[in-house]
Amino acid sequence: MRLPLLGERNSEEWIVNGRGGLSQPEFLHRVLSLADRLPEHRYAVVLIRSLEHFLTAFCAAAARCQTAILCGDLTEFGVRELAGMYPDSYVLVDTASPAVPLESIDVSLLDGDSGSTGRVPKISVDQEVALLHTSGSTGKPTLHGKTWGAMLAGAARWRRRFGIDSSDCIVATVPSHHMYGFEASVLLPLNSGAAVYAGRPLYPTDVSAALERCAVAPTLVTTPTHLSAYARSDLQWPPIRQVISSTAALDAATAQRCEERMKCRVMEVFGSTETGAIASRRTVEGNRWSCLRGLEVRVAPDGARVMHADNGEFVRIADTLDIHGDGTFDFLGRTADILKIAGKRASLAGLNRHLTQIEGIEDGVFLNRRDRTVGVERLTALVVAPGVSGERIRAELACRIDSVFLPRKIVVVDRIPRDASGKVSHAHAHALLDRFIRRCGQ
Amino acid sequence: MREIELEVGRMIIETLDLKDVSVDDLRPLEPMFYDGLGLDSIDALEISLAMSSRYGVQVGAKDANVNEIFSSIRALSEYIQRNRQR
Repeated sequence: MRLPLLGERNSEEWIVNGRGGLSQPEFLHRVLSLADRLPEHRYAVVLIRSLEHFLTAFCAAAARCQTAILCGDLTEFGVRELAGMYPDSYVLVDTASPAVPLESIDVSLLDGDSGSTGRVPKISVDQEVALLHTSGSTGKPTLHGKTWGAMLAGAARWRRRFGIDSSDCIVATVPSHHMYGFEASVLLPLNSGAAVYAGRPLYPTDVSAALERCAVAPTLVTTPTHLSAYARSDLQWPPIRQVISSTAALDAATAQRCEERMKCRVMEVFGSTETGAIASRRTVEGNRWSCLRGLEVRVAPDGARVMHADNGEFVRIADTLDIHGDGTFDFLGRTADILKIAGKRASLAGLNRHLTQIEGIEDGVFLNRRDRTVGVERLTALVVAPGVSGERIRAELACRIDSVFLPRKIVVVDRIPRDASGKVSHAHAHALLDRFIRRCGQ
Repeated sequence: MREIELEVGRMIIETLDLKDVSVDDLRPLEPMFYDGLGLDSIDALEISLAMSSRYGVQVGAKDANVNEIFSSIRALSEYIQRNRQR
């Protein structure tokens, strides 16, 4: 079965940007024009941060039956690694992309092009339209293949749960290449016909301006980190239809304050890269999550299973859930060593591997410090690295890992405390760090 | 360091809870982001809030060059002095 790239018609501005916007026919013209120019390869590595260009790139690749590898903010090191894993590939970029020495097509060169005419492409439901990557436990990327059919089924669940249709508008503060942003700001507008804001605002004034640009009260797609800041801003918010938050748990106090200041409901989504959105809740109503239509959760030995009610297929997730008789559940915690900071995921073991691979570092470990009660966790690195400067370590790390995982502080020690089996003794490591901090404070 | 720079430096340390950085460690021309202090965009958001509540200064992408405003404590302090409402 084949299903169209654009699911519902929207006769108004569909991509909302500062330059008059793009209607669906205009967007389609761009997609077809780009699709005509794409080289013949199996994979298209999408290295684009702009949502507008990302949408064009993704759709053009899908129209050419190529699989889009999503990696918007990878370092050059990471892009080369991916290209090495998928040799039959090329890169889709725009003017803001980092330069990578691989075959590239700049999608922003299309801007202003009247484009080709044609029908809305139909994509086979079994076509692998995207590969999303997460950090695996070895440090090397794990790639998750997504078919068009599965992506549309997910979009349908979002539409139903949040009441989104072609009269809506979506403003997202999250990147489009991670599952949350991909579902909420790429697939959802494509499938529902809801308009989407082309930018990715961050500061409260910019978010407010973006919300005001929408023709109707929009849906704001964001994270607890952002909401914590917006809740404390003294800005007057324009009309908002609803706020959706994900990537980490939203605390009730922030949700309450946002509902008061933004005068709308604040919803949360619980999901994963493996499964997409699984469940939602309105934070102020309590901790319990309700599964989206067609999904059920079951306990499993290593965490939980998310089941598709219609065909019994399931996906494992590394989360510990407390499931109630009515199918709702509480989230108790993650069952592996996966760290999440500002919506990005990494394995501590993988980060430690990157650290110890740096020349001159004899031993090292990342410690996750929760020094702040609200806000973002930061990492500290303990290293045994005689004669190597903190700047050099940081520079080497910056090539290998995402900036949110860069250590706030690098502390040089004589020895990393390890137990008899060679595992880091975290209690001792944290105590060492505490002593260091106290000494510095004097 | 100028008085305003010390004040802004203290604001950054307090806002971001940089426990092991003292205001004496800060250099007015040192980069704040990625290098130097090693801050990122989420920190920028937190700092922008503190600036707003303390000095009534709103920062956004419409400002000529947000990156320049946040490039160093000196640049940030000068921006605050030019635009402060209180």
